[in-house]
Amino acid sequence: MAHDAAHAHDAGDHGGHHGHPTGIMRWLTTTNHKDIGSLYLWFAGIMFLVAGSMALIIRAELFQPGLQVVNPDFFNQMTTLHGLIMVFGVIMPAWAGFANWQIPLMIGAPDMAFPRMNNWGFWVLPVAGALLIISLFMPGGGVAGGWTMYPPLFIQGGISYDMTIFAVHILGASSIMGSINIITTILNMRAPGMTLMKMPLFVWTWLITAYLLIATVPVLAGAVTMLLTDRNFDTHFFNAAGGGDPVMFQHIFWFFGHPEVYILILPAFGVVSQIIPTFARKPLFGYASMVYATASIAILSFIVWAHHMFTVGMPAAAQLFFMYSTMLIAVPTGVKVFNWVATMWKGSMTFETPMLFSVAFVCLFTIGGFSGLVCAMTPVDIQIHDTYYVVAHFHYVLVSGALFAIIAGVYYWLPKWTGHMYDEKLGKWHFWLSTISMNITFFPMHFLGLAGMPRRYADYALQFAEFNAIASVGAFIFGASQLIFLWVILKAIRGGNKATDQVWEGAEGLEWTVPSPAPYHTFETAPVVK
Amino acid sequence: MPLVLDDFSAKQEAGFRFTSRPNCSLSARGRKAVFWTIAAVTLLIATVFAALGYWLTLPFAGLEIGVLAWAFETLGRQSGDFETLTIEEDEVRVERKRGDHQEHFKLNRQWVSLIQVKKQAGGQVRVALRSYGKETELGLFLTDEARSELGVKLQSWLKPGR
Repeated sequence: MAHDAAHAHDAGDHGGHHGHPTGIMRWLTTTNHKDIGSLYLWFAGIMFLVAGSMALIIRAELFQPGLQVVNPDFFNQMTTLHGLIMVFGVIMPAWAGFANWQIPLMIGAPDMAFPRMNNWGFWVLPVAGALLIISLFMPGGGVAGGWTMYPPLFIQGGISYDMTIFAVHILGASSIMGSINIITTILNMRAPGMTLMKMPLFVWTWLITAYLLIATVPVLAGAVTMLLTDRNFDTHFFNAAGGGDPVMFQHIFWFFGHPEVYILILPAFGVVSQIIPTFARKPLFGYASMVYATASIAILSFIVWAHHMFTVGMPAAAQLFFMYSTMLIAVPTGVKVFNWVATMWKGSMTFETPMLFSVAFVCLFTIGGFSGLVCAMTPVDIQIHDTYYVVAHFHYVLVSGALFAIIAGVYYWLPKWTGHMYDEKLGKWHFWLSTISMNITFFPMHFLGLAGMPRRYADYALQFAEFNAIASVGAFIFGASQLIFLWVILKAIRGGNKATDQVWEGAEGLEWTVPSPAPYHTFETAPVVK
Repeated sequence: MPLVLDDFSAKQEAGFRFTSRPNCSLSARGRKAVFWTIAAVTLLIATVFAALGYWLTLPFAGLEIGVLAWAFETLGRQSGDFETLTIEEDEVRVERKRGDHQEHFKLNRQWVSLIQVKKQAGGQVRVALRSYGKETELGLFLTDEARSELGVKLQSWLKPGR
């Protein structure tokens, strides 16, 4: 009989951690998955405050018709950077943080498969974040062409556009390094007995997300590089003046962009699928169907991209194809929503903060899903394209979807990370304020869009004034309520009631078998999963 | 998981064997299947765009697949890693493979001494064999705890060194 030791991967990286370095060098040189997970999460948190502040500038300007706070060009810079940073600097790094912290713990691995690459994957991120923020102070101002980087605007701007393209390259490289690490870790470092169909759903969703990233990031990298060469080297890929095709950029961008939407939301499905069974005290209903639904959503995400661009002109057959394929996504998504509800059905439910955010996720993400179906219908989309209806739709998906799941996950695993229970009372305040204010902010945008208010304008007609004022009030309450979240986290890090190993009565999985806080090294000898 | 020893010693009174290896849940066949699936999809997508004239997707896809190939190649090299220690009559045999490096040597049991160093701040538990002034470390793939346990087991088979 032989001894299976789990820590052999890149074993040299671990030796130095027995009595690991302290201070700034600990964080700069760390190859420990928990340290790197924390770094990702703090980076995402800081960028959330930056991009959230930009959102508040946007809402302050839109509080009343006319121009009061900023000039239109700066307004456009704010909408562009808000989108870019929220997508690439907040949601994606936050999920990478969860992946780093949780995947090794959940599959019984001592660390990620390539710890040094993991370190590089994180430390290039602040460079990209800095490039995006510094671009605001460049001659000509920051990027103002929208987060989708469409030409011709993105071919015409100043140096900040080149900086943004470079930042996107770096962010892509970080995503690739993270994805390769995640795939190799999940597939090669599972504890004995942890078969694929025994993996926690969060691990499954990240495995599929990593596949999506690997398949699509080269497309984005190629697209922005062609923008760069159009800008600086006289190529004409997308420059209509030289015979290029700007609409083709939209096709290429959305070929990456729609899978990107699922890159942002699939890990959210995973987190919610961990939390709901815990607080319903029942196993997840339809585990296998959840896995297959996740894979189906990922596959379908490759054949729906043109629903983002129905108005650019395409044959009726193409419109029909993209309309129906988009609607098809509702089937596996519906399976998921059904399974979450069925898991709660007749469960012994309690409503601690992670569960509250998860229930809100199920309800509000479904609203975002339904408004997505509305947008999927070509004739309807032609009416509401680039209006606030679309803004409402994707904020229901990304705020009450991805962001709420991130918040739920932080509350759920915070005791395991810090060793202390968070302040439940403050958590509930945070939940109610966030949920109510989120709806105050984004629900009126449906009406604004249906009434014809276009997105990405600093000014608007008088008829839109009331709903905009309501949305702005909601946005400021939402922004302020996130400071409660920050305080709850800091409070839990500093102290509080000691968390038990299992933390939650109904929690199941390997991560709950290790002490709270999780030791610096876990599962150096692989556990056996029965 | 507790330290698991080979039952060799139970069968043959004069023998002891211990094997350790890293935990790899992906088979060689699985590794190839996963790699080629990812590579095929990624290259297919990039090739379609290249065929349409947007060829700059191709070098990025190639670069990415290169990194992926390196990652899977590294996993492959690690998957066959092992360390075996066999004590049989007057002979101590150590066989070890780590990546491309493979070593195999025999020692005279009467001239071998066991070195054990407890964990110190910033260091690891050490278990080593010393013979003719040369040392070889044991427990490459083991945790400190498992290495300590191995050291204790070996005490009854080898004489202690200074």
